[in-house]
Amino acid sequence: MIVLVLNLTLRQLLGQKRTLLLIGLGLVPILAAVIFRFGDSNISALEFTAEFLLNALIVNALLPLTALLLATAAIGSEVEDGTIVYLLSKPVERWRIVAGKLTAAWGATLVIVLASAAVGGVVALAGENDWRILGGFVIALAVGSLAYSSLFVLLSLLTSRALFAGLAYVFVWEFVITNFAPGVQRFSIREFTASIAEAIGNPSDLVFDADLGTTYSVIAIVVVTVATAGLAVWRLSRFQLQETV
Amino acid sequence: MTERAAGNIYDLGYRRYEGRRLGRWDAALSLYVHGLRAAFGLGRRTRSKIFPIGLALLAGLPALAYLMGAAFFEINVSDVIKAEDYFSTNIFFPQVALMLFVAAVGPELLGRDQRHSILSLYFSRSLSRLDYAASRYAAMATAILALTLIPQATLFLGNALVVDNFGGYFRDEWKQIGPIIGSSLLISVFFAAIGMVISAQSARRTFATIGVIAPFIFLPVLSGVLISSLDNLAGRLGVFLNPFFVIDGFTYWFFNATPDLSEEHPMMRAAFSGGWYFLFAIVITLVGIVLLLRHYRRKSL
Repeated sequence: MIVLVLNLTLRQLLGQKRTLLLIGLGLVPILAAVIFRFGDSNISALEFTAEFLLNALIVNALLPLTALLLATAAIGSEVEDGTIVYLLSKPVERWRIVAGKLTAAWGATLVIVLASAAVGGVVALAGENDWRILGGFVIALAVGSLAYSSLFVLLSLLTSRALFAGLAYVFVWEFVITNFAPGVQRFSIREFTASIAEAIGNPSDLVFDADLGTTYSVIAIVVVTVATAGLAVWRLSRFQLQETV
Repeated sequence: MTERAAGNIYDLGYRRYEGRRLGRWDAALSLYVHGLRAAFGLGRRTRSKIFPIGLALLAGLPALAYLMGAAFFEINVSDVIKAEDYFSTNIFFPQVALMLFVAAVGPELLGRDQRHSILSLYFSRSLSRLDYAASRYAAMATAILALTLIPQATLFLGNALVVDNFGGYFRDEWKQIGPIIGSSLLISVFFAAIGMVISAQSARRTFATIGVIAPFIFLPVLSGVLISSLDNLAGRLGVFLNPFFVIDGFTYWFFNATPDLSEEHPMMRAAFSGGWYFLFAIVITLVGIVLLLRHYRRKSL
C-alpha cells in the first residue's frame, strides 16, 4: 500500500511543466561548474566545489527549495484540492499514507539534488585527486533531504499555508535570523547537513569548515527527522473528514 | 404590463439594469484596488495577512530600529544608515523580505483567478485581457512600494524629527527626496515585472512561488561564479544576472553616490557606470510587461 501511495504521488509530482522547473533548478549548479571549468578563477577546484557548488548552491539553495516544492506539492495540494479525501476514506492505515507521501517527496528531491551534485561535482573536480568531499556531501544530502522533506510534510499537514511557513523557515530562520544570532545554527537543518558533509568528506579547514560539531549534528538531524515524521503521522491520524469537500 | 403578459406564460418581473454603467476604466480600477488589498490579505482571514504584512515589517525593521535607537540615544542616524544603502547587500534582509514578498504576492494575484477559473468571467465583461494584466501588474508594483518607499520615507521623516531643527534638516537634505522616490519606484516596477511574468506561468501556488524565488536565489550565485571565473566582458556582464546588484547599481546612480565597496566586490570588478544598471532595469521591466500582456492576450481559457 505504501508503494501504491508512493507511485500515485510521484505521478502527481512529475507533471510536464513541473518537471521542467525541477530540471531547470537542478541544471543551475551544473552550469556554475561548467563556467568555473572554462574560466580561470583564482580559487582552487576543491574550494570551489566544497564552498560554492556543494554548500552555497546545493545545500543552501537547491536542497531546501526542491524539498519544499515537492513536500508541499505531495500533501498540501491534495489537501487544497480536496482529493486527499479519496485517499483517507480508503481502509489504509494513516501512517502508510504518510510513509508513501514522504518517500515520494524524499525520493524525488534526492534524484534532483544528487544528480545535480554528482554531475556538477564531477565537472568541477575533473583532474583532481581528492574526491572525498563529493562523497561526504552526497551522503549528507541524502540525510538532509529526508529531514527537510519530513519537516515540510509535517508543515503541509498542520497548515494550509505550509509553503509560506516553509519559506519563512528557510529564508527568515535559517538565513536572516542565523546571521544576527549565530546560536540559531544549532536549530538549522542546513547546518546539520553541512557539518555531516564535512565530517565524512573531511576537507581541511581552509577548504570548508562547518560550524557545528559532528556528533551533535548527527543526533540532532535524526531527532528532527523522527520527530517531524512522527508528528506528521499523529496529525494525519487525527485528520477529520468533513462533509463538504 | 398586462398587454405584454398576454404573450408570456410567466411574467417573473425581470427588469433590465438601468443604472449608470461604469465601464472599462472603472472595472480596471476596481481590479487594481482589489489586487492591492489582496496583496496584503486585506478582506481575507488573518492567516492570509501574516506573511505579507510580516514581510513588510521585516523590510521596515532597519528603519524602525534605527529610529528607536535615535529617539533614546544620542546618535546621528543619517551617519548610521544611509538611504542609498537601504536595499544594498550591506543590510541584506530588506532584500530577502522584498524577494519573498514578490514570490508570495505574484501567485496570489494571478494564480487564484486561474485556479478558480474566474478569468472567463472577467473577460466576458467590459474589461479587456490587457486591462486585466495591466491592473494586476499595477497592483503588484504598488504593493511593493509599501516595502520600498515606506521604510525610506519613515527613515527620512524620522531623521528630520530627531534633529532639533526640523526645517533645517529639510533644507539640507531635500535633494534626497527625488532619488528616494525614483529608486523605490524603479525597484518596485522592476521586481513586479520579474515576479508577475513568472507567476503567470503556473496556476499552482507552490510552483509559481518557487519559480519566482529561484532566479533571486540562483542568479546571484551564478553571477558571482561568472565574475570571479572570467576576466573578460562576458564575466563583467555577469553582474547584471544578479537582480540585487542591478538595484544596487541604479540606486547609487540615482543618489549620485559611490558605494563603499572593496576592490574585490563584483560590482567594482565589473566597473559599469550606474546608468547601465538603470538602463538594464528599464529594459527588463519593459520586456517583462510586454511578455505579461502577451501571455494574457494569447491565453486560452
